[in-house]
Formats: sequence, C-alpha cells, structure tokens
Amino acid sequence: MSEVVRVNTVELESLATAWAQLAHTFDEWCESWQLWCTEAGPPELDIERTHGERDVVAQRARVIQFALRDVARRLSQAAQTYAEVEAVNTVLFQRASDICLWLAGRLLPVVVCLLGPIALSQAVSVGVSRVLLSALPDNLRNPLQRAQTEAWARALSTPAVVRAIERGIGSLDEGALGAIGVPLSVALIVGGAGVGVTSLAGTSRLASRINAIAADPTATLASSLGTGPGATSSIERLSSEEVRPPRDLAEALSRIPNQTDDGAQIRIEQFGETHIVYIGGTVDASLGSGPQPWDMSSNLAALGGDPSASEDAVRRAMAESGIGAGDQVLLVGHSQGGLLAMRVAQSTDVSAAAVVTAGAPVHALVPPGGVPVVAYEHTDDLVPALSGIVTDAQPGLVYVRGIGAHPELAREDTLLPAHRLAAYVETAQLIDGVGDPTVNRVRDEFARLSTTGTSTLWRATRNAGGK
Amino acid sequence: MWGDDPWAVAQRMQAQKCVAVSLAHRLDDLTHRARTLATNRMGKISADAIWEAVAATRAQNDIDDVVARLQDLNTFVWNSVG
Repeated sequence: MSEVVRVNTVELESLATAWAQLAHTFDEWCESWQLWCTEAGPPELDIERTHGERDVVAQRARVIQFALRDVARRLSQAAQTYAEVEAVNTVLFQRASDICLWLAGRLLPVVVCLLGPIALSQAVSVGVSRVLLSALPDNLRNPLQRAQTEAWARALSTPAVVRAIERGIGSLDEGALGAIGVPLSVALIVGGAGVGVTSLAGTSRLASRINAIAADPTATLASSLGTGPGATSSIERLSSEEVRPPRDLAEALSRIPNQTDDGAQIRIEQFGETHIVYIGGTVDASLGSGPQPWDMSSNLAALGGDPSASEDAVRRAMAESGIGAGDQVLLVGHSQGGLLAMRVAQSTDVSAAAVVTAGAPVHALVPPGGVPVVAYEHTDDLVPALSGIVTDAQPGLVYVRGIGAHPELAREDTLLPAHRLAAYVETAQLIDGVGDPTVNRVRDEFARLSTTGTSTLWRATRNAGGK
Repeated sequence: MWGDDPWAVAQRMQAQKCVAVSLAHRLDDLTHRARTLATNRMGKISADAIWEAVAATRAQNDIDDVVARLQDLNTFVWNSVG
C-alpha cells in the first residue's frame, strides 16, 4: 500500500479557499440571474409559468449560496482544528516517549545488573560464533552469513521497530539525562520538547564535534578558533555526456550516483539555465575523517546543522559547474544526499526551484520558503526514522510513503533492504503522486527543462587535516 | 412605437434567450467545478483515523449534498431556459 501523506493542513486550507471562491462565483451568478430576471420583464414575455420557474430558481439558489458558504467556513475551521489536534498529539507522544526514556535512563543501573549477564553471554556467543564462522569453508560460511544478515534485515525493517525508533530517538537526550540523575522536570524542560537545549539536532552536533575532535584534534581546534577551514573536500570531474531530461520523478531518482558510477557521489546536469544536482547516499558507514566524505561523520554534522565535508563537496561541484546565485537548481538526493539537498536548498546563495529526496532523514528540517519538496519514504526504512518524528510544520513538503522491502530485494545482501535506491525508484514508479499540488509543482519544474543537456559526474575526496 | 414592432420583439426575446443560455452555461461550469472539488475526498488527504471519523465524513456529506443541489438547479435552469 502506498499513499501521499501530508503532515500539514495546507491541502485542507487550499480546499477551503477553493470552496470559498466557488461560493463567491455562485453569488455572482445569482446576481446575474436576478438582473436577467428583472430586465427580461416586458409584459409579453412574463407568462405565468416563467415567473414560477424563476422564483423556484431564486429560492433554490439561496439555499445553495448558504450551503456553499457553510462548507467553505467549516472546512477552514476543520483545517484549523486538525492542525491544533495534530500539534497536541505530537507533543503528547513526544512527552510520553521522553518520560519512558528518562525512566529507562534512571533504571539503567538496575537494567545493567539484571540484563548485564545475559548481554555478556550473548556477546560472548556472538564472538565465538564469528570465530567459528570464519573457520568454516566458503561454501558453508556464505549461506550462514547471508541468513544472519537476512534475520537482522527483517528485524530492522519491521515497521513497528522503525516507528518505535522514530519516536524514541528524539528522547535519547532525556534518557541520557535520566541516566546521569537529572530530575524528570529538569530533563523535560531542557529537552527537545522543552526549550530544546538537548534536542536531537543538539545531540547530533555534540556527537559530531566529539567525533571531529577524536579524529583530528588540531584541525577541529583551528576550525573552532576560525583559523582553519573546517571539513573540506577536493572534487574531480569524472565524465561528461549528453542527456535528455528525466521524464518523471522515478527517472530523476534513478540518476542519483551509486557505487557503479566509478565512485562518483554527485551528478550535475545542465539544461539551459537550469541545473539538476543529484547527490548520492552514505558510502562509508564509519566515523572519523577518512578520505570518503560520504560517511557517518558527515551524517552527524548535517543532522546537527554543522557544515560537513560532503556538503562542501556538493557546493564545490556546483561552483565548478558554473552554477551562479541566480541560476535555478533542482536538487535530488538519496539518504545523506537528501539531507544535503535540503541543506543546500536552504542556503540563500542557491536559487532552489524544487527538491526531491528519497529515504532521507529530513523530519526535523524546515523546507526553504516557497520551494516544493517531495520526500519519498518507506515505512520499513530505518534511516528517515533516525530524524525523529515531525514536530514542526513543514509547509511545501509532501511525504510520499510506501513499503520498500519487497521479498526479492530482502534476499539481497543488505541490512536495510528498504533503504536501497532501487527500492525507492520502484516506489516512485508505482506512485507518482499525480493530483497532489506539491508533487505537480515539482513535476512541472522537471517538465520545463530543455530537451537536451549535459551530465557530469563528480567524485569527492575529504581533505586531510582540514586543508 | 418601434419597440412594439414584431421584429424588434422577436430580436429582444432572442437576445434575452442568449443571455439565459449563457447563464445556464456559466452554471454548467460552476457545477462541474463543484463536482471536481467534491471528488477531492478529504479522507485521502490524511490517513488519520480521528480526522476521518470526526470531520471528513460529515463535511463530505454536506459537500455531496450541495453538489447534488447544484446539479438539480442546473437541470432546472436548462429546462426553464428551454
């Protein structure tokens, strides 16, 4: 099952406005009808039957006038009420989750005492099984490893687990505060649902900075003092070819670079004055400051609102492609690429016309004003859930949600089958979201592109020591 | 008076008929717009069960009712205009 889901009431409000406009047009029609009835009054035309029919029309029109205005008013009220109920619901859910995690934090010593031996024995058995596995011949080891990966993939792709993580991740800070003995009232006040001192973004930023200090203390210190450039990357142009514009959003998603593109993380297509910037997802799942900018360090930095090496690479590739401040840009990104697409679109020096993301953790981001954003998400994909629940209004953003882990994909050797770009392309092919105003606006931006353009692949490498 | 001339009366009646037909066409357009708007079922905007149960169904019933009334009026006006 797939659906287009709005998390704000823009659609409902626009429906109310449409009905109000219809009521107004009908009022005008009624006036014209009255005028015609008055003017078409020469004695020879005013036969009894005509008079009767005109009265009936006038009478029925009055009822409809009232009903149309009533529908418009009620829809507008419903939009307002729905927005309020949704906001209250979100806060209540978040608070309940905050309290649960705080309690879990408080009970951590007890939990460790009770479950510690079990966890330890599990860890030992996992270690032993790994040693035994590595000693097995390939023909026996591979199926066992695949079965292990499939079991983990099934667990991590269970929608209930994904939803629990989505709700719980925003409360990790309350859990940590509980574990260090901070009272519940204080934890709730300083937490994400309170004044937001320790929010998800704040936690990510803290983790990102600790990681940066651990990986390269000198460069991080220089960056903090303003004497160093921070996380930077070098880019390299790989290839250029002539292309036609993508026919639909599914084809746009399919053009995001992946591992088969000679290590490229960015593709930039130019169609006249408009550019499409395709940004790939995380390549390296490790922290630190290795040569691959598309790693977990960049994920943490982007989630925390800090500049990252991958974002720097995207901006450099855009500048090298000759994208100026006034040039229209369409941004398409998968996973970390979607997060970067939103961050680039938010900057004032980029004239973003539309953004399409797939499997990106964008729940906590506010879309740039007036820019339509289509975010594809799978309900069994863990990655979007890592940005917590949507707590703020996201005007202009529409989520297109579907199920990603189809049986044939789940058999592949991956822990997150629903997160694969191929799965998102398939979802976009199945549900194009036509009929939704935001999706239509994004599609219109792609439809406006000239018939031929140039596509260039870019590969980025993180600069060592923040150079 | 030239206004009582049968030709002038016929012309005037014809002109008034044209206005009436034009008004009926405008009502056609209006009814069509209402019908299109009414097919935008609010249940599809949000999958939220509370919303569907409380607000959407009631509002949708009223919308269906007003569209039916508009269609009746439209038919009546066309019959009246001839």
